[in-house]
Amino acid sequence: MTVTGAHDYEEVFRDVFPRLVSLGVLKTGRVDSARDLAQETMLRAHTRWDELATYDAPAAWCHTVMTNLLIDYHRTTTSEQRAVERLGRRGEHAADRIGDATATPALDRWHEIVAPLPDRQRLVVTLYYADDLSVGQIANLVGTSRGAVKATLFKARRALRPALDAEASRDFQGDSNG
Amino acid sequence: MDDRLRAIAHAARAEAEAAIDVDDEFAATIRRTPTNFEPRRALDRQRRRAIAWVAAAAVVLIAGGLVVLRSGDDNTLQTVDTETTTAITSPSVSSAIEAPGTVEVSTTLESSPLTPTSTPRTATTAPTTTSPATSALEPVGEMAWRPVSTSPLSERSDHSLVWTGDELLVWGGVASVDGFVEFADGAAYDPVSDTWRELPDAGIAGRLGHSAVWTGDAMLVWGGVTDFGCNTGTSDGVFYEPATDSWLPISPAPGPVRTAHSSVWTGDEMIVWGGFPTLGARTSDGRFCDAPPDPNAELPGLAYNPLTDSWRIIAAGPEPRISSTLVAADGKVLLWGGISAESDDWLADGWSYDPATDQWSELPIGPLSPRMSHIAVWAGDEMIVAGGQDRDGLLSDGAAFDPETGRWRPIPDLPAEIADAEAATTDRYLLVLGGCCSQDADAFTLDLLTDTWASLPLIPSPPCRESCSRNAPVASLGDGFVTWGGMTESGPEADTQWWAEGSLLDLSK
Repeated sequence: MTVTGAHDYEEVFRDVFPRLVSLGVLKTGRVDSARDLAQETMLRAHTRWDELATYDAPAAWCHTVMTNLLIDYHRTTTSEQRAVERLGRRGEHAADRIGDATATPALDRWHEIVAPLPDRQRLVVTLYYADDLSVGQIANLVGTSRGAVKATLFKARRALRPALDAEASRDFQGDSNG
Repeated sequence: MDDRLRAIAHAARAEAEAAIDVDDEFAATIRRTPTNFEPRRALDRQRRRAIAWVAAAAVVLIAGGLVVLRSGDDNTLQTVDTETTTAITSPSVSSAIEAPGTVEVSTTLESSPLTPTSTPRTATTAPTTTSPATSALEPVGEMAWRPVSTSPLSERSDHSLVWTGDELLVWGGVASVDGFVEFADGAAYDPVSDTWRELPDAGIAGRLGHSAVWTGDAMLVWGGVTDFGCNTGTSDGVFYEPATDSWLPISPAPGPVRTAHSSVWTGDEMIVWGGFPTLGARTSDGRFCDAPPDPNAELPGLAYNPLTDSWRIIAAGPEPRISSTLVAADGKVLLWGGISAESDDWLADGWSYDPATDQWSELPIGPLSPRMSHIAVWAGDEMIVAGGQDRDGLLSDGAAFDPETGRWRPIPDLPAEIADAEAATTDRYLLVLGGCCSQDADAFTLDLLTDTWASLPLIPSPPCRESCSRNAPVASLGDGFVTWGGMTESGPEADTQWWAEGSLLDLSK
């Protein structure tokens, strides 16, 4: 299928797909789920590319769809599945989930930190810290107000601060001892 | 903390992206594309909204065939919605669209106290919508904003606007200039002469989100955030007295330092309620934010009396919450809505605080659902609550509460679903400005006599056009409104821009 337009589909795909997957992995903790959702997003883009190609920022459209799918993912994933995933996160490394032997210490650390957060807070924190989106951009993406995003970030920061402070303290002591 | 969390997030993102073989994924996606693909949810949120707007416009077009929009040449302006018709008379302002992209706003408000004594202003703005009613919210008529003159202040948002009766005092705020800058400067705007004067140095740190109330002869500035990056609060404050053009420090407030609080002036005291405990201060090397003193500290309500320069801790009342509203109501204070800081429950309860007895009492349950980020104002004899958002999205419904009778009554829905808007009142009108997700219009008035909403023309300065959200304060001038500065976010990437412009709406006629 040839897709043409002001934007080239393959070019946008190569640019945006890794970002969508990483957003999904950081949010869900699972590469397979993230890959499925990112593919679903790009499928939707593909089937309507004639229109999307004329958009100023088709990547932004993809980002919005991916975010909606991530919200839906939490809604549609059964509590049983989520429990399995939570249990899994404690014992396995991201590399296991990725399916290769590559060590992923940062991913593991990230999931260890954000695991206690409620789903919505985890999504907002991921968009803010990993995707570097502004409060306004996140509000537009998740369909809420800036105030709600700020409130969510505040609560998440408050919940995460003890773990991060403890880690900073360990690093400081390690540096001092070293 | 922010730096550390962001570093971990970026490293994790890099690891996740490294695990992806884009060639394989591209091939797999193309393979999965069916010839008759039917997306499960074909319309994204923006498209659904667009369709809703088109549908609403169609309703108005049909209604427009039945309703006379303009009555003669008497400059009586009418706006139509599907339920009611309202007329806003503005004989003093005329506006002529001379050419695409140019709007000449000529003011002839010679008898108005808000009329500049300078020559009529001509402003060139972005094109305004001039086609016949294409939207349910398209303004009908020529009630006009006029740009205010250039101020000595730089672009900013989250500053305060205080009307003294003669001047508009603008102070503080924040903007992003190679990192966030918190401002400690201010200026006074005289709407009669359309001129500005700079305020002297306040002697306190720059800040945003502070209290700023007019006590009758002075502006009281208190609290706020002095380091936006670390969300560092402060408990100091100052008075500014226009008569002497001088600042005077006040006693620091007792209790934990807070941010994002609400405050109102009751006539005798400034009541402070709610907020978050401050999240600490920047380390001496300026690189990191210290740990908070106590992130779970309880924040008592406070009252400051300028006559005695003293603070008192007010009685414990309703459960702590965020994004609630606080309204001064004939000597009492009304609190409504928000999200519980303890349980995360969305709230629809209201409370009344009486400073004379230092007691809280719960309001009767009203018709509104739980919500946050709504507007709430005192309209002479009622508290009007409208808009906001709940778990399912933005809201447009509203209600009015009369403390005398203890009764709520519904009011017509806002012309749009809006959260985080700013609001102010005159004797006749309630103005709702900006907020999340405005589309073709971002300023609406509620006529308090007829209970009808009207959409105002687009604000010329700062501009905020299609798919733009405005975060800007608004102040009542008694017989008009003024907005100055603020931040806008527009376009698919929510491009952010700070402003040092303002506009004034004269409703004196």
